[in-house]
Amino acid sequence: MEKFFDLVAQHKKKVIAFCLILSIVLGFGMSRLEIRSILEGELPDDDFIIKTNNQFKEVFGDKSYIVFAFENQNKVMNTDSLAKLKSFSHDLRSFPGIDKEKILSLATFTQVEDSQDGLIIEPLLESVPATKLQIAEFTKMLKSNELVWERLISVDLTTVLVTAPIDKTVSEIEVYQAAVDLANKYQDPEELHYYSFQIIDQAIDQGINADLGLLFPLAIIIIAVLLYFCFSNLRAVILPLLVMIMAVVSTMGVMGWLSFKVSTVTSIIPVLIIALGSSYSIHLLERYFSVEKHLKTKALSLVARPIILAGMTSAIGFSTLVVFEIISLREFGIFSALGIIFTIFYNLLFCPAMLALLPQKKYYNGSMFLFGLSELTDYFLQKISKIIQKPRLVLLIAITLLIISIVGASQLQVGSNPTKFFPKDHQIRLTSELFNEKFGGTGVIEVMFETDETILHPETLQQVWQFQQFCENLEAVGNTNSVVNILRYMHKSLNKTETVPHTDRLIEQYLMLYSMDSSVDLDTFLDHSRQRLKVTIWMDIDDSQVIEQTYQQMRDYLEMVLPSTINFKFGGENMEWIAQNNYIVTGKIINIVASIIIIFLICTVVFRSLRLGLIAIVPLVFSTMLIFGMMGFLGIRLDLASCILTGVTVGVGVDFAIHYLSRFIEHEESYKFLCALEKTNLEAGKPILYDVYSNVLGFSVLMFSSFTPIRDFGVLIVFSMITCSLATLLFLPILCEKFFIRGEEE
Amino acid sequence: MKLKLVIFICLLATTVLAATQSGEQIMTEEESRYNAPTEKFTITMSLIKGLDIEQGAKRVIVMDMWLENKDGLQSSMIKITSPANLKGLGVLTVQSTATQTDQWLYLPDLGRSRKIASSKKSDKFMGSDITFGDFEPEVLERWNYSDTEQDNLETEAIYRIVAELRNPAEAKNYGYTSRVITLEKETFFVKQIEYFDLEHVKSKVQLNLEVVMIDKYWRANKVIVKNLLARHITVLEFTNRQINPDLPEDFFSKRYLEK
Repeated sequence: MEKFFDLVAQHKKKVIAFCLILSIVLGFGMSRLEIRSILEGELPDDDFIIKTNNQFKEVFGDKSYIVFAFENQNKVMNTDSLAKLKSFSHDLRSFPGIDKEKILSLATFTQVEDSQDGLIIEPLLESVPATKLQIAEFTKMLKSNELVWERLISVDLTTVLVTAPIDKTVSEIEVYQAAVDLANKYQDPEELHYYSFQIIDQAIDQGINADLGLLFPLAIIIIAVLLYFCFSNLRAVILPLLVMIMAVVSTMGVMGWLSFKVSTVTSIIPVLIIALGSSYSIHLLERYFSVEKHLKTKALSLVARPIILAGMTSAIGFSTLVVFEIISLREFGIFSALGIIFTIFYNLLFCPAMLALLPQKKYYNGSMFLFGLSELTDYFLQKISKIIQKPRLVLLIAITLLIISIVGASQLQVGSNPTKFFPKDHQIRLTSELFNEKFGGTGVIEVMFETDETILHPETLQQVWQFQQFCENLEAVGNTNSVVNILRYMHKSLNKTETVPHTDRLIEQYLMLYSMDSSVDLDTFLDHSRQRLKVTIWMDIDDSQVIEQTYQQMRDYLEMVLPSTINFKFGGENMEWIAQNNYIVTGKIINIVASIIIIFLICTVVFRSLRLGLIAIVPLVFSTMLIFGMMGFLGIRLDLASCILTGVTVGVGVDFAIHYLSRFIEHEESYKFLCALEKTNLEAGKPILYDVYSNVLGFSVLMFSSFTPIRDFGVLIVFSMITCSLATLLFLPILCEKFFIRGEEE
Repeated sequence: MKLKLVIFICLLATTVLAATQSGEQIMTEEESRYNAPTEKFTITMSLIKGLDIEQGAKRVIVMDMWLENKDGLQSSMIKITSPANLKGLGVLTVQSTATQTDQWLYLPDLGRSRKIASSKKSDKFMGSDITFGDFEPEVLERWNYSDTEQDNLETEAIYRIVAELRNPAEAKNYGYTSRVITLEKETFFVKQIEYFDLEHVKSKVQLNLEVVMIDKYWRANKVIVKNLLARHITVLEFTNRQINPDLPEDFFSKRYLEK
């Protein structure tokens, strides 16, 4: 290594130029970065649910909807509000990307009524009721219409819905701005809420941009302050910051060049690089400044090995996230590992070259960590030294914490949905809750029924209707919708009978009549061959575990009831969540096992001792258990963000064990066993705690994120850094004393 | 030589005259040439999902249609013959005045016809991309016709007329505000119509193809309507066309609808 740093010093200008050019070239890729749309999903293309959903889209059309809720706390059943609704439904025709012929609201819904004047097939709100009596009659009529009641108007009469298919290619900014403009126009006394994938994408966009605009600079400032505390010198602050910025720019630039998109999960990467990169810089500069001029190359070569080892184990820890089938998690695993590699690369290349270029001064005066931090660290370590003298107490506390954690972990909930990404008071979250409370909900499960003959057979439709009734009695289901609802409505209107029409012919004739109105799109319910129909089930509970149970109940019902001539398939957005949850759980288990085994193998090889390999993973396992317990107690879900926690904890936490055990082996050769342990505690304890300070400070900025899971992740990672470091400092001396056998490492 | 010169001058004069006709004159000429007193034909209607005629899922409905044009008013009768489940379903439309159209629907399995109290020209013709209004004769006085300002039109063999509703309030009834109509100069036959919806967005394109002359009337045996917004196509294929078939006096009545 010394030769390497000699070469770097000799060619310092070339090395600096190379690093700068490399980061600039890679950095240009950032201009190609885009934010991942929620529509793109998180599951791989060959996933069963994705394939099923693609089949649904092929048969029934690939449509996305925008939903507006028109809310008036004093009830919408008044002439002004209804007139506004009508005008709004008309204005919506000019909304970007809207399928204007398929706008569905009270103003456009086609009523079919067999009146004395003849058959009326016209929009419900063709003329706005003006008198109290007309309003009362209109309300009564709405209540008797099962296609409208609780679907287009809430039971408490305060909210009406307007929905329309929207072109997926219209940009989220355009949709969001148009929705805001409409809301401004129609607000007061009514309140207008809106919801579509573009609106969510826009909110995610805003959140990620806000996070990158706030969290990244905040992390830089905090780490800059920490570096100044460490070295009380501007040069020792700017150099590491430059290294970290170059690493961030290079990593995100590579993402851009390779056409990867930024998700809420991968948006953490810049902060992660700052938090982890700072500790490598601190170690490097501390060693560099603490020696005389002629020993500096030697110092760099000594510190390079643990930095490379710690960095590589962190990168390997992160890269174990590729075992997940979830796209964001895989990408996080790959690019966070790449970020760490860039951090090490620039730390060991750019930083020494710059140090060689700048005039040599003695910057470090031996009083690292001003303002009493050094003393505080020493105080902690002394306390720890005292505690480890009582191994039984440590063991008792550890077992107690583990038992408590197991209780907490048993309450751990899995999965989340995109709306839960936002804080409780966010517009998206409030709108989603409004829809869940007053209408069918925002989540959808779809069931496709398929037969070889026509599906529009009265008996088949009756079975579909019974299934819909079964679903509507389930707690998580808001309401259901299919062509059967339309047929029952038609039969009621024309034949005064509220049943499924009794002949194939009548069914087809009703549908022909209904399709004569321009706002009806039967293709979304029924395929052209009349062999497949789709039931849409709206879920008003967004707990994905409840949704999974509900799905199982529906599936069991259909398997029990349906004859073999009718096939069925489940699809829809909520089915993707269920699949995602399964991937999270299985991926998490594989990830934990894989990362622990890999770290065990690395440590076994590095320390040439099976026992030390095992000892190294104990703090990681303990800390991981504690995190799951904490998540269970605090109600933090195992979701996309918290899923990466083990990868990060293991990746970073193993550094502590490596630091500790390296020093222990070093001293164990020269000192008596207990003396070696004591010396290790004091010498390794300090850098471990310094790492913790920088990591905790760096990661803590995540608590200010715009996204709830990232905030939770910030809390959990800080907690895991603290628990993992304490477990290392408390358990490793005891375990070494109990299980290490001198000379075993072969 | 003199004769040739006279013929040339006459031809030139006719061309210039035709070229300088106003949009309204062209459409008046078109109407007078198009409408036969009575007419009967069979329509094989293919409803196609998507904008790809070959690849899109298809549903086919076959129907017989009768038309009568009398004193500038039109009556029509449609009866579905296939598929079996829809056989006998009929729609009768009678234009009693220039502004009043009555429509009755017969669902055979309900056994009686019902008057559609709220019929609009924008109602979809048997669930297709064509509206009932598309079958009605042009009511010239409701539209403003103007030539498009394309420079090369005079050299082309077509007229391109922009038809805009005189009363914008009627747009909702029609389902569109304006049309761009392309006619052959020689025959005044409508080759193509582009429809512009309430927001003046091109929503539909109708192509009249496989043009034949039956008696003295030019007719398209194939009509393709592309609904650009809904991404649907309707293809109408006309067969068994008869111009001026003998129809009973009370053919356009509920009695015949239910027959």
